[in-house]
Amino acid sequence: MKIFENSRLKNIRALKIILLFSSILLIILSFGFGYYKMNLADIYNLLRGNAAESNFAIILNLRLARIIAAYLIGASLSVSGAVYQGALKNPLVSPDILGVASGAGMGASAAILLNLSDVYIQLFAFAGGILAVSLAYLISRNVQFDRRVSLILSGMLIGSLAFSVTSLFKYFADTQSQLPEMTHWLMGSLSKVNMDSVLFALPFMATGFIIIFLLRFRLNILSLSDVEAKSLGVNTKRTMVYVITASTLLCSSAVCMGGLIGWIGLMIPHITRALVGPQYKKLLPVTIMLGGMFLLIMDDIVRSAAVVEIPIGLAVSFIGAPFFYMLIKKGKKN
Amino acid sequence: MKFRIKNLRGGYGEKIVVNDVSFTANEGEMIYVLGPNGGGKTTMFDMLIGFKRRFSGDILLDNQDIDSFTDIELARHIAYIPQQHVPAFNYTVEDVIIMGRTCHIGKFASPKKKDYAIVAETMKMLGIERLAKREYMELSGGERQLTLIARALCQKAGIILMDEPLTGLDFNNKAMVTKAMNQLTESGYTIIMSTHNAINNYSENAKILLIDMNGRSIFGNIGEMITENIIQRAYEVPLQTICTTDENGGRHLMCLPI
Repeated sequence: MKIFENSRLKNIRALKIILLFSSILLIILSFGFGYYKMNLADIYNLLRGNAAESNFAIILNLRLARIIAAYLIGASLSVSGAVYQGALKNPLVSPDILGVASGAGMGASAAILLNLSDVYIQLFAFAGGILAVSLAYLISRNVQFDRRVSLILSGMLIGSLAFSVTSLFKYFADTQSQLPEMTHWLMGSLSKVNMDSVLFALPFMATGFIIIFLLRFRLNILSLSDVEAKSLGVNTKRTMVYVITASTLLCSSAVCMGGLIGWIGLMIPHITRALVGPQYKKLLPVTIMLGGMFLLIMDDIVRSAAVVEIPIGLAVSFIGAPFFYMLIKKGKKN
Repeated sequence: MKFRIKNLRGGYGEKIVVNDVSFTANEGEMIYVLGPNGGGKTTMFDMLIGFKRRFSGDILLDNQDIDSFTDIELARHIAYIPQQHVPAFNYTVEDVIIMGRTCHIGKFASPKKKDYAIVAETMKMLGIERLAKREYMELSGGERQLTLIARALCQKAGIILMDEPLTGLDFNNKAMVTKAMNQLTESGYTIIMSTHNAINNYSENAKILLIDMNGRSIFGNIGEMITENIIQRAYEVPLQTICTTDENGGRHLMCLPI
């Protein structure tokens, strides 16, 4: 990460405007990628509402849903990563490293196994995520290593436990209906996303984003030691409950929509912090846009790179793993 | 504001670390907290800001117990600068100092222009305005202390507690921080700081709070403490106390093990 040091941008407003415009441009262009090819003229017609042909309407609906989903999931996972890192005072954690994502996947699988409706899948995913992050945090306090390493190790422990439970659910699942759906969660794929699933997850994500936005300044205080935060007038325990709930809501909604997609929650906040610094007020909007764009680009790639679609979760890992190595490589300050 | 501590006792679990500490800090006073490590200085600070619950005793701000204040109210009266630490993120100096405004802005708000103006003014007062956009981790130890002092001043708290602010600083930085602290007490701030260093340029009414191995306190003017050679009792080793007055009339005190 040497390249990122001392590279903080002076003009953050310009960066935000550039990101906003490139987000819009990317969203428009993304209509063109996929099995059904569309050229710029087709996209233009679509946007003007001239989609007379019925297959165009279907494409619009499906592809629009997918584009929104990719952007929202990318943004949610990135923000939830940025928030976990601050609240737990550990820049090396993320929803997947803490086991939150696996926990949410476990919850969702349980709901599928019980043949419950979408609302319950969302609620179970959320409950699983909260359970995972709470357990990881509690266990980490009894681990013998230093705090940062302890949290990562406990997250791994909880994550693999949740994964085993999920596998058990798969074992008992109905091979015709339930198993394919569960497998879909675990690989991380946007191929089944439609407008209904987007609209369903939207209020949950919005709640998470709003809570985090409201506490944007206090998030900085949370990243200090508890005694320092208290001396500045902040009750860390209470604030922590709010922000962890909000970021778990974001992460579990993302899991409900697109399954387990790793690494983003770690990568994007780090890149953003290198660009604009750690102050959350500046960090959050840039994190949202960078995260959204990143996953949308990845989805465009997996949609068009091969004849058979590559699950996006796998594609992201190919980038995430080397990134993580760069992050933990020697020569990084802190 | 008068800060009065009576028979303070506290610790961890069953273990008593701070056994019986009493002292009074008046406006504009400087109190040096001395004593061996493990004598409970940090534990005492944690209790004084209400972070750690005490077993017994009183902590009074103008005769009102600190437990009757909310977190935000207390932060407006007492600021705390913990021992040198490594923060999770590398904030800029301005970002660190603005955090001092937390107790003056709404829970869901972000600092406004007015708050940044206070930050700029405070930095100017301490002579660190050139550091505003620098990253905290790149600063020297003394500059970091001044940054944290600026943060405390932005809280507008009259009482500032500091846990070993001079430890690990070179002479330049020590002089810089000491000067700033002396200016603050002259303008009416109360400073309570722990130290293992020489006490430089102390004023006539500066006091020493001595906490011994068993967590019991002895409190008094520096002058009395030296003449009766009380300090070495706390450390349980023979100490040579050296007092000098420099050519400008500044008083200095140093303790050496012999």
